[in-house]
Amino acid sequence: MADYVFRYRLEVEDKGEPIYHDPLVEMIREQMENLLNIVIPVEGQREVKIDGFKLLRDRERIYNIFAKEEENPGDLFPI
Amino acid sequence: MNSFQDIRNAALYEPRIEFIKKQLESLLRVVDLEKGGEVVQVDGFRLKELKHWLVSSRCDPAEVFEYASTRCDCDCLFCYNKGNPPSVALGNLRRPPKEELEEMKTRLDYFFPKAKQGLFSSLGEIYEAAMHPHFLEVLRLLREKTEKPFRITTNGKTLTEETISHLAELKPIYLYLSLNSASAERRRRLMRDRNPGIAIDSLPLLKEAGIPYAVVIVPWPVDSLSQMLDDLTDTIAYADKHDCHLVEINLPGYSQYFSSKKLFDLDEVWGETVSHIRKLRAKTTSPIVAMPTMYEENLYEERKNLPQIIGLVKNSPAQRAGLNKGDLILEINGISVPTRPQARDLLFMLQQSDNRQATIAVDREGKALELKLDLNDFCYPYSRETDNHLGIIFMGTGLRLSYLEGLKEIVDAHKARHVLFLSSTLMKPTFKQCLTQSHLFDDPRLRIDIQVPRNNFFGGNVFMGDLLLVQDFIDFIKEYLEKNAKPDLIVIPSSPFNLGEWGRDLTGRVYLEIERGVGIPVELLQCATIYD
Ligand code: SF4
Repeated sequence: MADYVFRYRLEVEDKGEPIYHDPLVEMIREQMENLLNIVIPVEGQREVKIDGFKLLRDRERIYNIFAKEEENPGDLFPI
Repeated sequence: MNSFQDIRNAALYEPRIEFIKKQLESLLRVVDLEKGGEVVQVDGFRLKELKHWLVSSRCDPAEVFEYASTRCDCDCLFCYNKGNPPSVALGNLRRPPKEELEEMKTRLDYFFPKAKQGLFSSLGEIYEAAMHPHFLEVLRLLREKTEKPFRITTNGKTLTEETISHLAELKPIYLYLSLNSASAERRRRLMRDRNPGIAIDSLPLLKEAGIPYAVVIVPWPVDSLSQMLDDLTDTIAYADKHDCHLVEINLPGYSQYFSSKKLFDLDEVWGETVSHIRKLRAKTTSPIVAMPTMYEENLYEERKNLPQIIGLVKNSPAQRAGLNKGDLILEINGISVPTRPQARDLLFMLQQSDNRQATIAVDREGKALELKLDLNDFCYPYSRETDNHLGIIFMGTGLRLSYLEGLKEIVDAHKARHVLFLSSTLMKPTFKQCLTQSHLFDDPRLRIDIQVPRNNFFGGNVFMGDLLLVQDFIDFIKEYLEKNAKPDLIVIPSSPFNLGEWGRDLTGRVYLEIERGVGIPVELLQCATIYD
C-alpha cells in the first residue's frame, strides 16, 4: 500500500514586515536565519557564532541576520 | 488527496520540515517556478521518501497509537487542552478517522523497534485515543511489531466488558484511567460523562482481565475543598478495594487562557490535598503519588532526593519481602544508594535483568534492616513487564548528581565566574541542596546565582519550569540585568526544550534566541524532563 502523504502548505504571501527592503538581501538574510535555527556553524572543532553577513561584491556593508527589537524592522540599510 | 499536516507540530519535532517550508517561501518571493514555459503556482510541498525522515526512537508503541488521540467524548471542567495558548505548537488537524488510520499505518510501516528507528513525531494536542474507531485495529497491528507494553491514558468511557476482553488479548497493557471520582454524580459533573457507570465499573473488570491500571484523579475544587477531599477519600478507597496498581493525583492548575479569573488558591488546594493524601497513605494499601511530586517533598522533607519509600505496589516482590512505607533504602545488593535516582536506576536494572533475588538494606525508624526479595514472588497488579522498580514507589524521580558534573563542564568551558542558573520553584530547593553538598563548585571566585523565572506565557497559576518559553527567559533575564551585575554565562536546564531533540520551546522557538535576545552566552544543561 502507498505511504500516507505528508503534505505541508506554503504561504508565500503571508510574511510580516521584512528586515531589509531589498528582496534579494532579505532572501539571503531569511535563509541564513532559518539555517542558524537548525545548525551551529563550526570552524575546525570550534563552534562559531555569527550574527551577520557581507555580500562578496561589497565587503564594506554588514547585514544583520536577526531582527533586533530596538531597531525598527525595515529601517536597516534601506535601499 | 489527504489533508495538509500542521507545520507547528513538525516545527517542534522535525524543524527541518519547517526549514524547508521557510526556504521555499523565501525563494518563491523572488522567483516563479515554471513547467513547459508556463509559470506554475505551488501552494504546498510533500516529503518524497519517508525513509529519509526516520529518526532514532525508543519505539514506544504510543509513538504510533497516540495519533488516534485527536478527539474526546468527555468535556472535563479542568481539561488541560482548554488552557493551551493559541501559539503553542500543538495543532489539531481534525481529519476524518480513516485518514488518521492511514497515517498510523504508514507510521507502523516505518516503526522499527529492533533498529530503534521511527518516523519523526508530529503529535498535536492529546485527547482520548481509546474512542477512536480504529484504535483496537491499530493496537492489534502494533502488537505484531512489538512486545512492549501499551501504556494507554483513557477516560474510561469505552471500558466495557467487551473492550476490556479485546484489550486483554493484547497484553502487556497498562492503563492510566482518568477516573477522577468514583461517585457517578461527581464524575458526571466533573467530566460531563453522561454514562459514568462504565468507567466506574471497569475497575473490577480490569482486575478480572489481569490488566494493571493506575487510577488518575485531578482533585478539582468544583464545590468546597472539604467536599473535594471527602470525594478523594472515597475514590481512593474504591480504587484500593479493586487492587489498582497506583493512585496518581494530578494537582490541579490552569493557564490564563483557561481562565483569566482566579479560580482557587493554589497553595491552599495543593497544600490541603497533599496533607490529606499523607493521611490516606497510612490507611491505604495501594501506593498514592501526588504530582508534581516535588511539591510534597519541598513541603515536608528537609533532606531532599532521598530514596525513601512512599508506597508499595500490592503483591509486588518488594511488598511481599516486607518492605514498608517510610523505609529509607541504604543499599541494593550491597551497593550504597544515597540518592533517589541511584536507587531507581539500580532497581530498574534489576527489574530488567534475569536475577531472581535481590537484597535491600533499609533504615526503618533508625534501625538498619536487610530484606531478601524473591523476584519471582508476585501477582496482580504487579507485573514484570509493566513495573519498573520491583514495586517500590518513591516521591518522584529526584535529581541526578551527574547533572552537576554537566554544569561543572559548562562552567569550566566558559571559564565563567558569575553564572546565572535558571531553575524552577519546584526544583530549586533540591538543586540548591545538591549544589551545597557537592565539592565541584568550591572555587571561592565562582558565583552561581539560582533564579526562578515566572511563567508569563502560560500565566494563571502555572509555575512549572518545563513550561517556560524562550520569551519568558528573555523577559526574566532583561529584568534581572536591570538590578544585577551582568553574568558571564547563563545556564538553563534543557527540560523546557526537550520535546523534540532540536531545542525548541512549546511554541517552536529555538533556545538560541535567548542568547541572541540578551547578548550573554546561554548554555543548556542536558537533563531529562521530570514527568512526575
Ligand atoms: S478526558 Fe482528558 S482529553 Fe477528555 S476532556 Fe477530560 S481531560 Fe480533556
